[in-house]
Amino acid sequence: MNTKIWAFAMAVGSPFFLADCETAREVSIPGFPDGGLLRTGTALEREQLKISFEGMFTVSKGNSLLGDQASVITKPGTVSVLTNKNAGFAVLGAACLPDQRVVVEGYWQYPTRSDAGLVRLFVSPPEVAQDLCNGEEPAPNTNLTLTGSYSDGNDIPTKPLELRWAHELKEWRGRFFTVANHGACLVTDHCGVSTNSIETIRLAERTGSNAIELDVRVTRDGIPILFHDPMLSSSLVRGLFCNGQVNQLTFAELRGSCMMRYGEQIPTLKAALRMMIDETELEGVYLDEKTAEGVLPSAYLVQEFEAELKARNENDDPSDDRKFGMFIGIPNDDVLAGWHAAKATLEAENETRRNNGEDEVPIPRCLLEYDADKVIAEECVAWGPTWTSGPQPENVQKLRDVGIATVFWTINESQFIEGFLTTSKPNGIITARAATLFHTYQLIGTVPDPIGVLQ
Amino acid sequence: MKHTLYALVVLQALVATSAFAQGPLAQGRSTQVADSRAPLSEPHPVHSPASSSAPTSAIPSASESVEAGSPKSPAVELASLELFGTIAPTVVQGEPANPHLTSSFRRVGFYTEAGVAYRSKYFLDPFLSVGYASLASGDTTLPDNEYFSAGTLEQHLGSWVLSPGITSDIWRFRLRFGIGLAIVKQSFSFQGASNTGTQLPLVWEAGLGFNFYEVPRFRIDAEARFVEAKGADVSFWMLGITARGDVVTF
Repeated sequence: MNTKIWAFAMAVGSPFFLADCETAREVSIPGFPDGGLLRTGTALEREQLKISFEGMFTVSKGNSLLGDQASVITKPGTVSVLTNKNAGFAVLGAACLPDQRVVVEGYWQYPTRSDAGLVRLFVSPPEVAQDLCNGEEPAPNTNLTLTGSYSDGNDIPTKPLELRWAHELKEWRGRFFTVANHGACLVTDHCGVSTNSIETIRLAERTGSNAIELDVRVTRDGIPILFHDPMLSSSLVRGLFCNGQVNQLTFAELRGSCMMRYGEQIPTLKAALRMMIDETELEGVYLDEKTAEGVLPSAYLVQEFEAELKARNENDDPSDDRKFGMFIGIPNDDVLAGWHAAKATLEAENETRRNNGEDEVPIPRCLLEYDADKVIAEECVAWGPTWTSGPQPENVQKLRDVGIATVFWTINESQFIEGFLTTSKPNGIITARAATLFHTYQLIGTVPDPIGVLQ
Repeated sequence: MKHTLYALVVLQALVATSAFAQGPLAQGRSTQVADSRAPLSEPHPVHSPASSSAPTSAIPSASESVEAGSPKSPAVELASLELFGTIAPTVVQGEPANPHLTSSFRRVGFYTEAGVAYRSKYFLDPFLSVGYASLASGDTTLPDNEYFSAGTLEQHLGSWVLSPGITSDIWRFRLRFGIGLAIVKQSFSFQGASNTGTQLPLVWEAGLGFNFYEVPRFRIDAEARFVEAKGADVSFWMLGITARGDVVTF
């Protein structure tokens, strides 16, 4: 009898050992109760953040959290502290308080672990804070310190933290691309946002990315959406009626039946492009076309948004100028065939426009992932080789000589990031560890020469 | 309703099969084996490996033991080929993606299954079963959108389950475990257009049955079972009736 029970128990238990352990992580992004001090203050303006806070900071207190140095960058409404320690980052807001102090507070996180907590810092010396409160944009110097404390979890911060401005950051805008790998974090991270969601695009920018790679698939009714896998797997989506292949369902069926892992809607490519252009300062997007069918609808959208940007940049109002590059990614020969077909269609349409005396619409630019020589032959503007093929400095230089940028994918480990930055000196790297990449680039990277097509 | 009818047909077929198995063609064996799992009233000679590999004088064979009237003679069980069928209400786990847009939702469904099992002389009995579950349905009201106008999306979730596995009888309880393949099928209807999507994840199932009715060659169990198609994130419980009949004993 005992033998029977044991044997059966082992048989029944085996699926638990065999089953994959990838379940949605417990995520709790810490927050100050009642919105913290930020709620009582007046938020600083975008230019104040950009001019007065960005730089390389020395960590004089709180090294166990951030290491010895941290890069500080700013985005609309946020100040981000980026380190290469556990790919950690802090996303903070900044506001002038009624007593003329400037508070910089928010949360810190190690995305690969469940560690997170609160940060509350104050700007000193007081004269700098006063200038900021007066609406000025004081340039930082080595007297600028951010002094305060941090905590674990939702505890009120008590552990000392102090960052002192050391020097300016290396040039990166328009030069070096920290490209988020379909969002700010990996599926297995603790960031609380789903890959390829609108929310992860927003977080990616705050964790150090200035460009993003997004995965494009088309629904049964031909609408390009952001989704990585061919299947609606439970690792990416939830919903009882959300099963099967992405291209088997119409957009209405997807919208009605599926939510992303952390509760976001599966975005259309159009909504994502609109959000990136209107709500972020990201400089570009690399559309990783997962199927040949997605190339033409993506290309139409790129044409539509490029026309809009051109109109904005050519009008008399410089305040609405926006530089944003969109590139069709070609990962394999199937998609390349789709690209050829799409190009033929777009060129035929331009032919018709020419015959009708209308302006032509530029063909979108492409990024080819696999063969350096094909990049030149296909007249693409960028090469996106896998890092597993090695740094390939000769190919990087060969393409650079003809004005083609190189963006390696996908490097997450610090030692490989360091190796590729120093050996290949690429124009960018796709990563899920944007904070690590950005900070490492600032520490040891070489500023690439500008490449016209990416400007 | 359609699934209920299918289930009844399967059950009827099983009962008929069982009756056939007990008919004139099977009488010759069934007279010897009142219950294929019970010890024979007249012990059969059993071939013992010891009789061929060791001197018979040193170790008496089982048949010799029987002949000698030893009280420790092994109980002899016969194997059989068994057909079975299950009908069960189901409760599926999980929630619709947009509860705030879901105007109706049903998570109680129905499962029917048919299968064949080899009831071996040993404690593990292999089986192969095929079942279909109508698991859930719902209506989701979608608001106006750039890509479609507002309307109600009707959803239905079903799954075929093809599962080899093993069972084991412990007293009147029957443990069941299987790993196989599911064909998870969802159907949609929106603004007059219908569509179906399928997915083929691995599935595993575990169940506990209780035999509450037994006559020669025919048994009925009540059974609770959990089925999970992990790759599709579909899992459900069922509590049903399983009818089992021996078609061949050997």
